[in-house]
Amino acid sequence: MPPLNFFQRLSKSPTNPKPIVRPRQFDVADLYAGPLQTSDAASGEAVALDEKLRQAYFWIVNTAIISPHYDIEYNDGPTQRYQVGDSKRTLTLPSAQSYSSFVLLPLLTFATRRKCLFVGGPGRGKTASAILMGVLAGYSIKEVRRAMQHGHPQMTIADLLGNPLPADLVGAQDMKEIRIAWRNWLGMRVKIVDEYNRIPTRTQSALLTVMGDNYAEILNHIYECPESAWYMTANDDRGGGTYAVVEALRDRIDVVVQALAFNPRFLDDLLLRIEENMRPEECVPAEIIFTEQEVDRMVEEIRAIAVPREVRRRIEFFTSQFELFETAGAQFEYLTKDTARLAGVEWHELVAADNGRDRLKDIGCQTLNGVSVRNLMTILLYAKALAYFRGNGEVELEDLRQTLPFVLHDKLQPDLDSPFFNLPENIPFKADRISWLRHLFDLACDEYERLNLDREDPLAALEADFAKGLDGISERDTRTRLATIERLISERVKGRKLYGHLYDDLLKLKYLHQRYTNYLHWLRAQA
Amino acid sequence: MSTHALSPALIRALQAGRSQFNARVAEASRAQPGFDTQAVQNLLHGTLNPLAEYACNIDADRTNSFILCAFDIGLTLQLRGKAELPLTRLIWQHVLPACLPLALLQPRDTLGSLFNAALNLHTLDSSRQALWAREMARLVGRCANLANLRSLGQVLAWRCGLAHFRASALGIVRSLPAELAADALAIPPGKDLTATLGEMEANIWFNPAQPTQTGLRVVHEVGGFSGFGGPFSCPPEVRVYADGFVVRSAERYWYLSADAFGTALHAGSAEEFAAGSPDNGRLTMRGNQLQLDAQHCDLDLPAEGLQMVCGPTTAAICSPYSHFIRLLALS
Repeated sequence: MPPLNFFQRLSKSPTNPKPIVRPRQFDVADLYAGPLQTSDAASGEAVALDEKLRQAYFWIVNTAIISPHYDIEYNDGPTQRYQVGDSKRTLTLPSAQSYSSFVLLPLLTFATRRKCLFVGGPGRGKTASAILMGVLAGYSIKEVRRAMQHGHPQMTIADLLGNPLPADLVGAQDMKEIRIAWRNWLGMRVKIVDEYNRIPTRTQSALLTVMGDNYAEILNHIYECPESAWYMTANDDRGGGTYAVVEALRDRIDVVVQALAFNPRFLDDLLLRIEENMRPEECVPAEIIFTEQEVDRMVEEIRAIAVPREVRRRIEFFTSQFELFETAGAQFEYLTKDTARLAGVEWHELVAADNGRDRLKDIGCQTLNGVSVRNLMTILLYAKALAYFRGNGEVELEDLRQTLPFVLHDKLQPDLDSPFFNLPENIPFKADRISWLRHLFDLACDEYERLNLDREDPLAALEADFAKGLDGISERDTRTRLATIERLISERVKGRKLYGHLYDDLLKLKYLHQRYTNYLHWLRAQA
Repeated sequence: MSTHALSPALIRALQAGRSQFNARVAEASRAQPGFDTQAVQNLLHGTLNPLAEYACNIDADRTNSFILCAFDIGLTLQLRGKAELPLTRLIWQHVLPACLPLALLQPRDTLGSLFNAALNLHTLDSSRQALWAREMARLVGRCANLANLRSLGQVLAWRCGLAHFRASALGIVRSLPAELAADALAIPPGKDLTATLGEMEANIWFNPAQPTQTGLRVVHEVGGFSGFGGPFSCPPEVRVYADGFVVRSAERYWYLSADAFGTALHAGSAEEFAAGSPDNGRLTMRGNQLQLDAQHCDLDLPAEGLQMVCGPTTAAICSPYSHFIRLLALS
């Protein structure tokens, strides 16, 4: 280890200073706080876990990763923007603390124990970053390296999960007597699968069970895995691997992060690594290594982050744009893209029949599918994690805007034949999915604001009344509410066009109507 | 590197740790392109050479490890551009020789504490930095252990002007031997320490070295125009907040703490300023005089546009014609 520890310096706390509105506390012990190490500093005080997470982030971006790209932009006031090149691409200099998705998303995955896929060309640091996450969890580099699963075309289920002991296999009279030598990696809290798209389909199914249900099974024997963070790597996530990745496995991945290109202006740093024989994963400072209990606590703290109603409404509105497909069904509940997909009907036939709407304006026309429940839960969790990482007690709209594209990267499939993608200014969105998804969210937010839904949500009062519960509501009040619902539906269907958010509003009104109708029947039976 | 002027003690230390010294210089050179190796010569010849001789006379066995640690500290200060701070030099030349027996026993903690303190104190004005170094050099030899040394440094830092440390320093001073504590706070001989500390706790404007100064009076001027090195780019506004004041100047904010020993400005926020109180209590201006009940004192500011705010013990006066804040003791 270098004697002056230049590679182990941590950023000074607080790493994301917040306005203080409580009486200040000053401690004279701060007189001896500084860059020179003393045994006080070495023993260290208990640091808040969000601060520790930020210190880990800043150590990685400042020391471990060369040439980070600050693509998760936050602004605090006016920003400097430049139009660059013939295509007039925008270069933004963010005015607030901004982050590198390649470091931040894996770190949030670590903090929430979810699943992250690194994609990008060879030699861009995907595997090295995954190993770093293993080291942050307190494992030695040897343990992490040995536990890493390398996908290859001959990989069997036994390679992945373990083997029955040969002697038992021969001598056993019952399946229960066969002991299984489980692979060590199954018990780790950080699991790494390198080049997962080179794993044969059959073995992928075994991997799916471990990833999805957190257990492994061989010959009726079960191994329960601990809750863990997963990191997968792939050179190409669009099917360029040896085997196509089964859809269910792909769906289990929570976020997809792209390893961006190396900027050769940072060559000096690369040279320094060679000369100093420095490997970041070998000099992770002890202060940023998390114990199992700390990660448990961090997961709980992240879950406790609040999502305010105005932010929740934006997610609802955004999500409701995509599932409606008016020509896919006859009954109101089945007017969905999922109905069309399950039926296997030619997509373009149904699209051609859908001739009543402005297909440029309706953002639902840009996708082939909707947002699943699992995706929604992941969006909420990562938005909470980002708010936690930024030291906030509740999610801001920008947290949502920044995490959403990485969650939906592989989930919301663009309809590249839709009119939107054929406009010249939108051609880049065909390849740059992160920017497309962020743009999509911005469009949804613009529409939400145009409709003034923060102040004039027609369902808000009805939902608030219903949330108070049905107990004690009189028959007269119930009838009043039913009449209100029917009147509201009549008003809302006056326009001839059906859009995604209206479709979901109508289904919600139908739900409320049904609940009150059932309650009314019950009330009458009591009389 | 020429070694003819080096003392035998330093030569022995360099020979014993040759590979380690070389590795440190090589690492520093790589960490900071353009690293000035002449600074290493200066560190060895000007700073470590006399220290090695003193150290060898006290404990020859520990000299080598002490010199290696001092070399690390000197190199780190150099890399951070802090090696030439006046207070850093005063510590090498005066404070460290006075506490060398302790530094030899625990070199990393002693040197780390002293130089971290220097980095925190270097924003004080130079006379106060010099006072801290002078008092440390005078008293540190009476510290029986590192804990005493650190407490002494903290109490002196408060006395030299770091007013925000007042509450915790008052707690720490009691851990020092009584005579040392009294000397650290410049309490006149014969005065009872416990009673004096009680008075200091009760009245933030009580200075044991000047016990007769009481009543309404201007005690500090804080601030200055940023064009001349001060913190404020336009005349400041002040509000009472917690135990001090919040200050706004050109949409930047500070928290101001003050007591008999000095003042300290810290970064503040708009939220704190909004939460502050503009109350001016019973303070009034008549002619060129400020009045509080039966007390009065002169003020060198025009009455026009004067802003006065009053906390429980202190008033702050701002004027649109000045970049300074006048602080008045109310008792």
